Amino acid sequence: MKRLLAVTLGILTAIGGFVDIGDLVAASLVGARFGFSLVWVLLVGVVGICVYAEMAGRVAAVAGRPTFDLVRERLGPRTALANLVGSLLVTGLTLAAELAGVALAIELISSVAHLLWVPLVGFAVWLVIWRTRFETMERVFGLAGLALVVFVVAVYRLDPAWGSVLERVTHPEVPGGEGLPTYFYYAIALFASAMTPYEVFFFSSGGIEEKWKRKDLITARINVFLGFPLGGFLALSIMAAAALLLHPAGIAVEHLSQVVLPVGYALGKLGLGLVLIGVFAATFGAALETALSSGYTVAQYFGWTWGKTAAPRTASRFHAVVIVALLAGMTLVLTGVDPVMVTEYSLVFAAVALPLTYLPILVVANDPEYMGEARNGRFANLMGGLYLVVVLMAAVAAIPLMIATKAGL
Amino acid sequence: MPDEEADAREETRTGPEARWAGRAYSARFHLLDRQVVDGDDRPVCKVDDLELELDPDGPPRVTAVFVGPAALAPRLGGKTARWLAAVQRRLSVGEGEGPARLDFGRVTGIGAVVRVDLPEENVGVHALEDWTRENVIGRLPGADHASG
Repeated sequence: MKRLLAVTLGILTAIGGFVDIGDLVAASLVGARFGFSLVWVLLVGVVGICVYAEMAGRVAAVAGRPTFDLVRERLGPRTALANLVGSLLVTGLTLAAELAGVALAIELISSVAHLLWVPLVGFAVWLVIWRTRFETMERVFGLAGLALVVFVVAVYRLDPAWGSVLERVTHPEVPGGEGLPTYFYYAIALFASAMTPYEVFFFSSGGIEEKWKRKDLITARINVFLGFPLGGFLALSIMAAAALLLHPAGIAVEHLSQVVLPVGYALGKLGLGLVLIGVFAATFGAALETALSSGYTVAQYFGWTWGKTAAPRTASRFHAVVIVALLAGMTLVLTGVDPVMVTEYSLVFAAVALPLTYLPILVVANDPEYMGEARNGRFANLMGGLYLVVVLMAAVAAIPLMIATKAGL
Repeated sequence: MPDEEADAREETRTGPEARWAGRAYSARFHLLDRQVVDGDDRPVCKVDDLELELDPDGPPRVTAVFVGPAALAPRLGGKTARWLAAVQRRLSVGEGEGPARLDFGRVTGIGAVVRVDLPEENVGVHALEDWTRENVIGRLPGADHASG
């Protein structure tokens, strides 16, 4: 049981990456617009984040260094600062969207306008960071987020013709009426959200908060190879549900209420109740992940004391950054900006941050002075190198495609 | 101080991290931008810059670690440097007597982190931390209790 509960860090991290508010809507939107033709991107993304989260977790457990520490050390202060600014923008914009996402989930339950809930949600997120034990936080929100498994049940109940689904997954075709640039724009958006940098920041820092040592390498690996595929599987089931129900009906996804529609249709009120719990927990968990990640990255760049396991007095600058990030996120949402658009635009900054985050991890994971016997093997380097090329291509293509397609219109 | 000293070799200090005797340290690779931790493994700061003593007869010697934005700003260069320096000037409490300085004699090990034996009166190293604790975080209820 203890081993089983020890994987909640991986699950919570993956939930923040794969089924946070932006991805809930994006996965559903992609399913509704492109059917099953983009499933392959999700699979590519799951493998990619596994490769790099495993390295980041291994470096955290063996050398005791979190990811952003390595970024500054290997890239120098200037390049690392560019990464810091890019990562903070992605993380901060995502945090803002998550606060809105939690509020939207409460709106669906309570019918009280979501903007009224935003300050309360922001305060609740801070309170959890300020007072709750790291492990409790991870277990409650990681496990409750698994309520999204109802999407899997819904797909099963929608009873698709599995043979033709498989055919459409393995032989992707751009659906009629969609241009090739738009198709690739969404492919990059899906890929970038699967490999979003705050996942490795949170995962490696979380491992250090949990005091991982060399003997916890197994725990780190189980976290990676169970947590991230599970997150990817949830995103896949959301996409499949939309592809089965919304794509044929020609319904376009613009709002959270349409994301949960297939579950309500297939499983009725009980399913709808469960899916709302899942959405609430997943977005709240993602808000915790992004708020903490903002603090982790800034503190690790400047070398400050960080972490939520110690008394806040002993890490005041870290806690101050978390509070500022939360206040900024709340302010942004209260302007009435569309939270889903916010996460879509954050892709631009992810393009800067992604290669500059993964390169230092790959370099340090190969350094025997840090890693000793636990340094990268040939397979990890092959995969790491391959994905660095993919990440670079995605980073280069992201902004031109965004402009060319007017952000996927 | 600009980082011309990049390839200056620093004599091996005794430390817990095993290294072959005689293998050199590179100032840029092993010191600059490394995390500094105290005896209890708590993060203290980054090695933002180094103080060098030039010896006409031999290689330059590292005599201190410079800490804080005042030390970091010149290494960033350009507009960022001026901006960071300006922020630092406005945030600093005392007279601008330059960056905080950690004597290199306090370094007990160089490895994945730089270990130091921190003096009690570590003035300047934690100036912003102290200010934030006194004025913001320390005033919030529950700041003394670890959430674990």
